[in-house]
Amino acid sequence: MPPTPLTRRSLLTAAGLVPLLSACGGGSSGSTGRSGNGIKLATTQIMQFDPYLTNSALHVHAFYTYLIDYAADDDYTPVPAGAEKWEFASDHRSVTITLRQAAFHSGTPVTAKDVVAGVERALDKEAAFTLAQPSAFIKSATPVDERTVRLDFTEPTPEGLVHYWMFAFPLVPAASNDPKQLETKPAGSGPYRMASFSKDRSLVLERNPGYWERGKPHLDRIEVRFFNDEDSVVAALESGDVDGVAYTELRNADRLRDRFSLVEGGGRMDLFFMNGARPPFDNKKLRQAVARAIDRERIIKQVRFGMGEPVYTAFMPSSPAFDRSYLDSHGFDLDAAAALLRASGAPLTATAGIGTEPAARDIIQIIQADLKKIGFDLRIQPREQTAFLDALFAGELDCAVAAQPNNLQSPSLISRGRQMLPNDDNVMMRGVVPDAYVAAVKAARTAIEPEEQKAAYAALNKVLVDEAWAIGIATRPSLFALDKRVTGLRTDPRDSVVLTDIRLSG
Amino acid sequence: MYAYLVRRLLQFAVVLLLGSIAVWAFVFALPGDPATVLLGPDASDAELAATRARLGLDESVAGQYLTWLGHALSGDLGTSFHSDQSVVDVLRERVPATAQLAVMGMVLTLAIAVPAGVVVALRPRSVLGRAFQAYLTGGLAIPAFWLGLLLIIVLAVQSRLLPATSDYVPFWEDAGQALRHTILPAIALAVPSSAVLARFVATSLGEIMTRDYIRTARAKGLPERSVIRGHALRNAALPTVTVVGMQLGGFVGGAVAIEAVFNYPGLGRLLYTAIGERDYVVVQGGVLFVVAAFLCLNLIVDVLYAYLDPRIRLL
Repeated sequence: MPPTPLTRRSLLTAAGLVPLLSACGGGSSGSTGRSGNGIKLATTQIMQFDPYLTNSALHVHAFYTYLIDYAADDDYTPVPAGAEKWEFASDHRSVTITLRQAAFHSGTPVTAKDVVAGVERALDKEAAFTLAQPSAFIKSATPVDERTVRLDFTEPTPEGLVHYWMFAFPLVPAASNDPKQLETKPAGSGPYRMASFSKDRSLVLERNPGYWERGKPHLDRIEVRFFNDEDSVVAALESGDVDGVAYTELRNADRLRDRFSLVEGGGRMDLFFMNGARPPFDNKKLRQAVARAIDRERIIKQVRFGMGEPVYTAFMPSSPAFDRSYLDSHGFDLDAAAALLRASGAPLTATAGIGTEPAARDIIQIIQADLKKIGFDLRIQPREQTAFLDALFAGELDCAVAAQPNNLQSPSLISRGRQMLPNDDNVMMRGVVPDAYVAAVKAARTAIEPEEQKAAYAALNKVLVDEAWAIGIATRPSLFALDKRVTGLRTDPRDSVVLTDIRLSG
Repeated sequence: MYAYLVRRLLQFAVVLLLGSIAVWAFVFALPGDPATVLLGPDASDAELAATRARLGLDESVAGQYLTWLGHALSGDLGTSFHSDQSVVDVLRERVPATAQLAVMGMVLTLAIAVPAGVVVALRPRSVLGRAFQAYLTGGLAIPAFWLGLLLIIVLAVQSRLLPATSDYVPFWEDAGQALRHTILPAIALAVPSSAVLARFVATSLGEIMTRDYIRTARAKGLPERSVIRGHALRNAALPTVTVVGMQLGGFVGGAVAIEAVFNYPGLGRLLYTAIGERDYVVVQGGVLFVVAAFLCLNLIVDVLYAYLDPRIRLL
């Protein structure tokens, strides 16, 4: 077929094509813009629906009701949720929980048997994942009546640890409580039900009309759109394709601050881990020297764009075990670091592993530059993120920057991460986990009276500072950017999004 | 012709088998553990081992391949580690999206490349010819993903004329929405490929216009338009068809960057995500589909070539 001659008319037609397309179906709910009383959020997070396995935080509070909530993301006062009330035995060996009258999305009532089935799964180490360690104190669960269940403990257990477990325990129908089913079909009693899900594309949540909290949630529909690329997420927000972005990178804050509402969540914290099971960091003095060479203020300013707070040991500022004094007594001091380095007699070189996370690379580079000033050569070996994690968990790295979750109300939960385990599975200390650390974790887990707890937390801080394999750097707040008409988004202490209070005005 | 087709189909099967072995070997050579990606950094060794066993990753690589091959021969390409969805279903969802984008990109490519090539070949010193030459140089120099970002900034973020992120809306369901969501990634794909194609058309046409049979056609008194349409363009189409086939194959399998930039839910983005998640069976199924699509397109091009040029059938 011969080519159509290019005329002035055809050029003008082509120039008019874009505005024409922009008008094509622009009002359709299937494309851009809002649909009724609903919003669209964008995220780069991966979704999993089994609350026992999930490591994503955007939907857990949508599908599931937990036994309790905390009052705020920095206030650990327990607030009734799935549990209406609970009463501890005087010997702290059991708790009796009364469930709220509520129904699952399927319409079946929430019963004590569902809790018992959930506890049984939580005690199965291979099927529980996020709940296995927090549930370790439970010996058994017994239904008392239709809505009452009693938990017996293996030993006297502090209330804070039980509260944390209740906060982490989702109500799931017994019949659906297995990984195979929950992986694709969430089944809870939370404020939203799943309307549709297309992997890598979108998750559509619709209001649960039978939700137990009257008048909530406020929105009829929330669509979560998935992205691979952070810049695409921001472009989608700026162009109006979505109404908000969840867990966006902190570097976007300045770009978005004037035009959108920014919400900061508690987030996680970054720690600098040194491998005490292999040279050169098997030398405790060297670890202590490096710990003094971490310039937290500069890292917060340059890498976290002024957001976040400095931490010294592995506790967030909201933790009852957080001790700010260590930031002064053991803070950034290159002279002290140089003296410790000389005293260590250790080799003056090590290799830090980094993945593809840009912030971790930037943090390591700042530490590298400061260590160079005192004669220590920290080399950087970049790897693809999954390969980095493999090397980290295989204990093959000399040192690395990695995130640690918030330890919430129970500082004994510090030992959840694989770099912090109080046994030989600790990937940074393997066979040389200090006895004092094992004892301190145990004391923090079992201390019941406030004075006992205070002493246990102090002991935990002391051993972490002395052994210096896990050095706190700064908190890493989560960041949300929202259209100014969207209000009410908040996070819980675990940094999961609470969707029930979100409103859309105008 | 039939013998030629049978020979090509046998080659097709062998290449597909070798391709599947190569992809499997390549995917397993990637460092990183799918169980770690699936469970996150806080999982214990016991949980990771249980997940590996559940996914069948505790078998040898060869054993896993043979198991996969056995299932694949009966049409079962496995189940995604992450979504528990069958790979066939995942491909069924993504391939139409990529096909729609590829077709749209190719239509735009041809719409630009053919007139540009003809003008550059026949009127190189005209204003339009010079403008097209500038376009060809720019089109070759600009990376598609960068052009995509520019299009997003100008047409989506600043002017809000079109969506910054694309979604798949089947053309037959809502043509307006389909165009609206596909036009920007299609332009980003079409600009560099049209520059390549236009050069082929221009070179090929330029060379043909000097041939004796063109001079003969002109000497017979045929109008110039008939000479170009009836004699020159048809012969110039031969090498162009090969390039179009390769470019279409490239659009199907190689639009990874563009799909990622526009968040377009096609095959490229599926592979991009699956590689990051170490979702081996999805990577294997997706890459094999791309290989098969490329082979099919090559086969069609070769058959078309054989149809257009009878001499090829004798080879």
